[in-house]
Amino acid sequence: MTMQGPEGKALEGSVDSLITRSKDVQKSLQDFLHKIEQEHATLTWPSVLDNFALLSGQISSLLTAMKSDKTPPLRNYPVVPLKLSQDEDPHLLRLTDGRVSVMSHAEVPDYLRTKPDPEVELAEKQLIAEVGTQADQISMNQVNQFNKQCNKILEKIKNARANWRADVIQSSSTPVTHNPMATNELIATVNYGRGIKANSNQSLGTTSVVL
Amino acid sequence: MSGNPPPIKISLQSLSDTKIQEIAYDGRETFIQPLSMSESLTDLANRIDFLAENEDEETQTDDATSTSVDEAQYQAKQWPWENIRTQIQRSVIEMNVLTDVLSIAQNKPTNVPKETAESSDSNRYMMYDFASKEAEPSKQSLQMITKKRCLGAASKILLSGADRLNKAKSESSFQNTYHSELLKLRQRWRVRRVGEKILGELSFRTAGSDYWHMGSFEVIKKSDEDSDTLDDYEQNLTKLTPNVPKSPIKVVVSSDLRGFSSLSVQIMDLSKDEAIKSCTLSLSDIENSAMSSANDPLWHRVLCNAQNVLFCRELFARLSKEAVQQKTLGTASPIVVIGDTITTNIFPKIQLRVQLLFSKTHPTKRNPRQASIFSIQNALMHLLLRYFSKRLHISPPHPTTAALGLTTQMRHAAVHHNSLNQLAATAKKTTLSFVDVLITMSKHYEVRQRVCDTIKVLSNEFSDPDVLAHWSLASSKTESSARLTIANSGFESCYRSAVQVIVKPDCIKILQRDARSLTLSVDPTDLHNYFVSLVASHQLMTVQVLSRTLGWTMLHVSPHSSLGLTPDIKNRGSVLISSNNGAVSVAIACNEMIGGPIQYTTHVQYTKAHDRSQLEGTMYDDPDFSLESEKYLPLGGVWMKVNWPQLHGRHFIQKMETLLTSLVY
Amino acid sequence: MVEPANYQPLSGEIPSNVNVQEYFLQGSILDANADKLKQRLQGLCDNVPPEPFTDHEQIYFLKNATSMLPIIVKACKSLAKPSTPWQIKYVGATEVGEHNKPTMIRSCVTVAVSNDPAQFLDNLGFSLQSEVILKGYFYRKGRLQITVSKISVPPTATCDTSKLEASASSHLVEVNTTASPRDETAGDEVKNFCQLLRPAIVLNKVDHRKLQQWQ
Repeated sequence: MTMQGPEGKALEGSVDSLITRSKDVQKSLQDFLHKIEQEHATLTWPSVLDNFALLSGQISSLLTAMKSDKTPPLRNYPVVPLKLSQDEDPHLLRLTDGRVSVMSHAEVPDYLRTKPDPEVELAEKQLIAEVGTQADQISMNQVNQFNKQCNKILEKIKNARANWRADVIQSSSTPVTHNPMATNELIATVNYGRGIKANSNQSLGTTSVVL
Repeated sequence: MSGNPPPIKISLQSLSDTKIQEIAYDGRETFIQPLSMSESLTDLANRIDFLAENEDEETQTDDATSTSVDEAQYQAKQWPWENIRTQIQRSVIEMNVLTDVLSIAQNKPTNVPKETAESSDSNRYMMYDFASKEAEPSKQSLQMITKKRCLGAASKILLSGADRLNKAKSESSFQNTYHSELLKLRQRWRVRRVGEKILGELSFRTAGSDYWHMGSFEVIKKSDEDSDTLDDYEQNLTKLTPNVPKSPIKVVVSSDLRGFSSLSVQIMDLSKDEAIKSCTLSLSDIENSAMSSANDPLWHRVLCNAQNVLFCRELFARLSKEAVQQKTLGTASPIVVIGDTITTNIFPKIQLRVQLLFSKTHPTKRNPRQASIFSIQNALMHLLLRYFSKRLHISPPHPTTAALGLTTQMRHAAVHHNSLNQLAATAKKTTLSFVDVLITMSKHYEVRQRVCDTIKVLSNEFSDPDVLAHWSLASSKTESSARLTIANSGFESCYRSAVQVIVKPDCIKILQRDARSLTLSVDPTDLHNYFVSLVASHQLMTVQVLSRTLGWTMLHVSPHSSLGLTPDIKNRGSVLISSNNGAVSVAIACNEMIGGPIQYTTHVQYTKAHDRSQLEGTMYDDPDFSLESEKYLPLGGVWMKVNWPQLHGRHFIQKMETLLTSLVY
Repeated sequence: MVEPANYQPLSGEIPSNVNVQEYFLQGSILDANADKLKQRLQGLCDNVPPEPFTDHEQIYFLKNATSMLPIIVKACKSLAKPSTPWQIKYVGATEVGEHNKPTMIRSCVTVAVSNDPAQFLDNLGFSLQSEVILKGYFYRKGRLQITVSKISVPPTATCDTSKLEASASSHLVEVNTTASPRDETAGDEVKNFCQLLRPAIVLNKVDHRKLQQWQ
């Protein structure tokens, strides 16, 4: 109940878009899984790669939605549980596509946990351990160098792509080979004599018909 | 209350798990000792009913194995995707959670008419609360490390892919030559791509043929392993010319075109049962060096051979089709077509045989001793080409609205007056019959051979007058001519006979100098007879001319007297000449012994004028007989035969000359 | 004895109700691309060099009492080979047909005539409507006839250039074949051949009724 007006509207709107994007991702994941399970015999790498590409596109759109200027900083809005009940709630069912029927004290901790999986936590710890030992200055230098290299590579790729695109564009346009107006005119002229008037000087000679 | 109450001791006793065996009257409990390990094991073992379980297992193993096999297969099949599957499953779970949390917190009212009473607020499970939080500082080095690692992994994949491409590009020359060989193939043969396969066509359709055979072949890329397996056919092909470079392309031709084929035309003499002349025809005869050389790869040879087979088969098919339908016969017997042979007797005892030779493995050998009838070879080829071009080159309609397919003559015929004969003639001109041409040509060939032979025989027989035969260069495939000149050596300016012999397939025509033309049949005896009479008349004519130049007068010439005294002597002409002063007469008769050589019998009767003296005492000495009748003196002389062999002179005319000159003086 | 009206003494036993129909498709191509089309046609058609032709066509109309559309007869003369006879061609109405019919169909009758039929047609009641000269190349594949031609105006006629501006820089392409109406494969042949000419030129059915009304 403590929702400020315009901010609340902005939040709602952005959360809506987040919901739609995440639902897209979810759906494509499910389709992909279904595909693997059912058609694993006939699956080819190109189609798998297509699915992955789709997923990465959707995830990136989700991330952009999160990062966009319209969304207020999400870290300011923690999710707070209000009510717990043991009863089944059809409204809840509909909201969650049939996955959550009861919002009880058993589900809430699972759903609202922020601690990452053990493997993820372990990897994070290792990374922090690796990084933490370096001095700030060195790490700044490394970061700058890395950025420079990445920029250089990006430029190279862009140039190559521009060159490649130019060749492709030249040959892809289909030249116009005929003029449909001309077609109609030509046919009309040849078959029905449109546009040409004959100056016929026919002398009426003998009336006998030669067969 | 001061002080703590004193601690109370509580004693605890654990629950005993062991069962009580018995309780003695004095309260002592005897416990059943818990089973030791071995004992418990034996106890368990006793409970197992081995027999029963085995039965169950048997029925279950089948199902179990099948299910386990299925599962194993399932697992195996999925194995390539297993990783992906597990990862995706996990992400599905995570995403589900995310969407659920978000949507529950958002708590959008769903469209349900029944539960309108639920307001979002009262039923809300979660909501967003506002609590400002500072932004965390970004851990750049951490990000950098993770990004570096990810980029590294991605670039590794890209690099390996690029490596593979590079390797494939600069791979062994096998791949390169495959494409260059394919290009060469395409330069010489019509090839097109149909789906995954490369097919080509080697029939003569674009040249105008309408043979049913498709003549298609398939181009296959040879892998390294089976590059050396050539079957008999190909081995024989390679034996022909040893310089066959290996190529990565293999060509598969339909099996009925694999082999060597040629068409052979033979003229056989049935009485001797041997071929007089023969010729074999195949496409390779007309190949010029520009089309193929010794360095051609195997596929080219295979294709050329296949085309040759197709060509021979088509030609033979046309011939046999026409032969079966042939109505007008120019032959002595009907045309018989059996399998791959067409035979007919063009003259009695002379047979024309056309055969399609086909062998899977060996090239048809040409008998080098038999001379080749080049003209027939050429003619057949030309006929086929003409047929093709006639089919292809239909004169196009001018104007374009006219009907397609008519010849120019037909178009004009449509609007002008015609008679039935004219139409029939134009129709006849336009039809080509292969068999007709073949038969006429072979007949002509045969007749010409006969004429040639007869002339040779005769000129050998008659050493006396020189017989020269000069064959004209201007001849067609159905007609040729020769000019026979007969002259006596030394006396050419005296008299020369010349005769033109025109050889046609059905007859021999002779044109003589006096503008008479004779038509002889193709029977060699006819010609023989004629030549003999020609020679005889030449001799007699020469004698006439000679006598005229020497001043003798011709008394009587007869080209043919009656048969001689005996039936086996045929007379070929006789001449009676007398000398200037009438004193001597010479009679020459030319006789031919039947079955023998020609001989000239010359009877010379020379009557010298009777001496006056001789006449005294005879009735002629009467003074009543006035001797104005000196002219009668030559009459009544005695005919004397000339001793021919002892007469001086190389040949007949020379001897005649000697005789005539000697008789006068 | 009176013979029936359709007695044909010279035709013999040939049934006289064999109509001939023309199956055709038309299109046009810009002059610049006409060469490419010609090369493609040379590759696809029978192996003979293309035949240049120049035809002078005169179009005669006869007003029909029964229907709105006039009867059309074309008199064609070849200017390239003047000795060949004139041709008179009667074309019936063009049936575009349903969508499953591959080509346009019209009945046609072509007859060769010995002299200029102008007077003959005049006596029948036809009037000369217009004339046109077609100059181009003629290709043949089996029984298909393909013409690529350019229109020009003969000196004896006047031309309304405003109506012909677009066609001045285009060639007319027509693919046709004649067959009896019972022959079902002729249309498919034409259609398949036209498919091979794509995308250089797209030959389609053209609605002639609209064109006729543009007079």
